[in-house]
Amino acid sequence: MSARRDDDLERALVELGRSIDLPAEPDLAPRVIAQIRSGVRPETTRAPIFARRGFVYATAVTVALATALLVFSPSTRHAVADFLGIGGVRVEYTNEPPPGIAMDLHLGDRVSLDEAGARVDFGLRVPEVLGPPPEIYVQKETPTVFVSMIWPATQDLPRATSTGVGALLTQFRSHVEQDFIKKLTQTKVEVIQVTAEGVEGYWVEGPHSFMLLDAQGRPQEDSARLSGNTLIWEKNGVTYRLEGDFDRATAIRIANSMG
Amino acid sequence: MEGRPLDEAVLIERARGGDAGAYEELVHNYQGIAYRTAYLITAEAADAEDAAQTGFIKAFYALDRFQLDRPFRPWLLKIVANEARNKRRSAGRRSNLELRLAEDRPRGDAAPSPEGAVLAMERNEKLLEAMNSLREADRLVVAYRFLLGLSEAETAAALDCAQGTVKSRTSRALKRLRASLETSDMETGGAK
Repeated sequence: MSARRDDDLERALVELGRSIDLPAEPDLAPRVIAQIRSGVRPETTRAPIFARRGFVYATAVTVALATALLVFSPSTRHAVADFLGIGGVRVEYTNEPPPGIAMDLHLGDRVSLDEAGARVDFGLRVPEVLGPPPEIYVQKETPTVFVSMIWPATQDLPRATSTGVGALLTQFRSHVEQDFIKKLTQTKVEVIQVTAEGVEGYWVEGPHSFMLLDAQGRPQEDSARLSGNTLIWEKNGVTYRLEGDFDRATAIRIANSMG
Repeated sequence: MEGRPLDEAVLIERARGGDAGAYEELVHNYQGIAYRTAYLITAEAADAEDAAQTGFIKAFYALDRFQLDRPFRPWLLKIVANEARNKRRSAGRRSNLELRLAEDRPRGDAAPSPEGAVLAMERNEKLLEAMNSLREADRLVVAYRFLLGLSEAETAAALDCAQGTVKSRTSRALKRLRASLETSDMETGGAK
């Protein structure tokens, strides 16, 4: 009825709320995060929508052969079909141990940005958050031209064990029929679908093998090395590969700043 | 409730990028209200826990669909409350939550003296009795709005109805609550 009496009643109810007996709240955070990390998604009542981002654990996978034709649980099959190849990169599971750290990153000749630009048929791009790359390399002894940019380690970009530098960004023209880079991920290496620059990409977290392939898809001699955390994505027919000892959010932030 | 600290948008954005640590922080911030929102529906502690947990996980996978310029809490509570209703349905229960007063002395600010405490306790008991006599839909809207302190928008999200419905249902429920209180006053008054 009157506004004042309404207020009184509301106040009394708020007061009651302080005296009500509700069971103590459980600490859900650890369980929620554990389940998310396990990659086991809750059943949906609607038709399952495969989110662009999902956790896929290599440990959830049964490895059949060394170079691995894999058996995946039905819920992850969709994701796997996508991540076996992105741009010119192939990701495979294996149970072989990763190789040691190679001194040679197989980056090719050191050149200027203009020289590098003249060697490829696409516009080279530089992530704004990293600024102009101090070192640029071109690798031509491969079926496709790789352009690699290097940024030294800083406070924000810790020195990566795998490369000895802060960030390594490689870009190359992808070809539909061929992969040029192969990554073998051991168990416990996480391959996560992410969105970078508005497109689907993969974040491979943890040490894994990395090798360049020749025109027949065979690993190039001596090119195998240990790779650290890597973000891979493809935009406008160009494959980008960003490697460094930073976390996924940082990698995505770098990718999203590509000029 | 509508405004939110700047970090929350940052946390959501990071979680969207797959950062589990950022999401953990969000879960920390909201697990209390999520759990209580679920509990008022399930009336079972274990079911409420399950519903809140599943709700948080589903929310994580749905983060891409969350609009960053909107408040996060109603969006989350909607998912959690929906889980709670599913839980309750699948348990085949039509349990009506009987609200109870906590055993210990009310922590309210209206208890400066022992007499005051007793009065507050009596008032709370009466109020609770009246609350428990409400129809479930009415009781839930009042509990969300005043006992848990949810905003109209959050209550609407939790009940999966329009905000206008929350408004009208709240005023109807308050009216019934008052009528029930007045009746009990007359009864106790008449008994003396």
